[in-house]
Amino acid sequence: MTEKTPTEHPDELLPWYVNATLDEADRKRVARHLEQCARCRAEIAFLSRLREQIRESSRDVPPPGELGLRRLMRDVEGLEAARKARPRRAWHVPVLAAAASVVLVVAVLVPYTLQRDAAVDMRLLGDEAVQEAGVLLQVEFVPAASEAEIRALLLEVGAVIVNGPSAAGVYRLRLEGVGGDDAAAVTRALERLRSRPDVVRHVARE
Amino acid sequence: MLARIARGDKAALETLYHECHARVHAFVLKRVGDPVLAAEILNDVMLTVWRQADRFAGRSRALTWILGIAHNKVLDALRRRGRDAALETLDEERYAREAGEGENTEGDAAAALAALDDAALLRTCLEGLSEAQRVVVHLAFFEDLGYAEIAEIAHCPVGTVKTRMHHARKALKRCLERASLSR
Repeated sequence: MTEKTPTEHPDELLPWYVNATLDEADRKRVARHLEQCARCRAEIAFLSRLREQIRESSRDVPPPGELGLRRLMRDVEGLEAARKARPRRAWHVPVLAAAASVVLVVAVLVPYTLQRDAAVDMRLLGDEAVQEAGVLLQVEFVPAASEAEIRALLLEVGAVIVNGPSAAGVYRLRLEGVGGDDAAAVTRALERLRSRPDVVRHVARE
Repeated sequence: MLARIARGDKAALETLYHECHARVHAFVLKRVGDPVLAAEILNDVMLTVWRQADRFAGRSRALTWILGIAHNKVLDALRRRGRDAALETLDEERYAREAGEGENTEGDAAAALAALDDAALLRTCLEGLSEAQRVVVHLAFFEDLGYAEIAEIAHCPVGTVKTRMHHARKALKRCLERASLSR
């Protein structure tokens, strides 16, 4: 490594030098630079003190602790009880009908209605960010479905609304915690959404 | 641990809660600023972990995955409160412009360093950062996470994490310097 000139300060690496997460090559590069650069040593002093103060101040408010755990376990029990109490419905017939219509309607409707939204996403986020944002679905709710029904269903499948409605009433959902290659989880979520034709009119993966 | 939770093991959920709830709570609280709302979101995050542990693909650390869920929940909460994160992202250009106004001299940096000892002032300056910048600063300095892991949690490219940190440092220094000079 040649001696650094003032224009080659490894400035953007300094925060991660301070929290000791740089790989060995970068760590050594920064350490060598610091030996000969007073400006970067001053910056390291600033960042180190900043880190200390942030860690100190973040202890001001105690976390919920055991009270929070009791609440969590109570809610988990509630979820379990609700799941067991839910009547098993013969949902295959409406699902098959809905699925058949989804293929047709989504193919025709969604590319048209979400063209504008998709263009917005491309501009704001770029391809990489969109892919990293998780699995996205496009959904159209039944107009008569209540907010409570929609909310309960989205909570159940772990989906959040990230965009919409479009002019035609299509929403974009994100499946939380699901990787793009987890086809089984996506299929489960789609099946569950399609099993509620009283709430979801159409749904498809983007 | 998450595999056990995915199989419905409540004891594993309790263990995970004990291991990570303080960190998730601190991450959320720093961003929403309200302890009651932070506790609500923490509970919501842990319920999501309980329901969706089978979706953890194991490509990252469990904590990274959980903080990613917390990040999304916070964005949703802020959106409900009217602080649209997408708009804040757009606002980054404005923050970047402000941060770029005037480079620090060594003397200024020394003033900023001295001002760091004032916890209330630092809190005020941190609150002046954009939401996206606060995420990066917290995860880097409270959680000691590398930039790649922060990018994964915040769902953005690594370059964006570095840029946000760069602008956050400048903005913090400017805020601290101004305050120390006006005293």
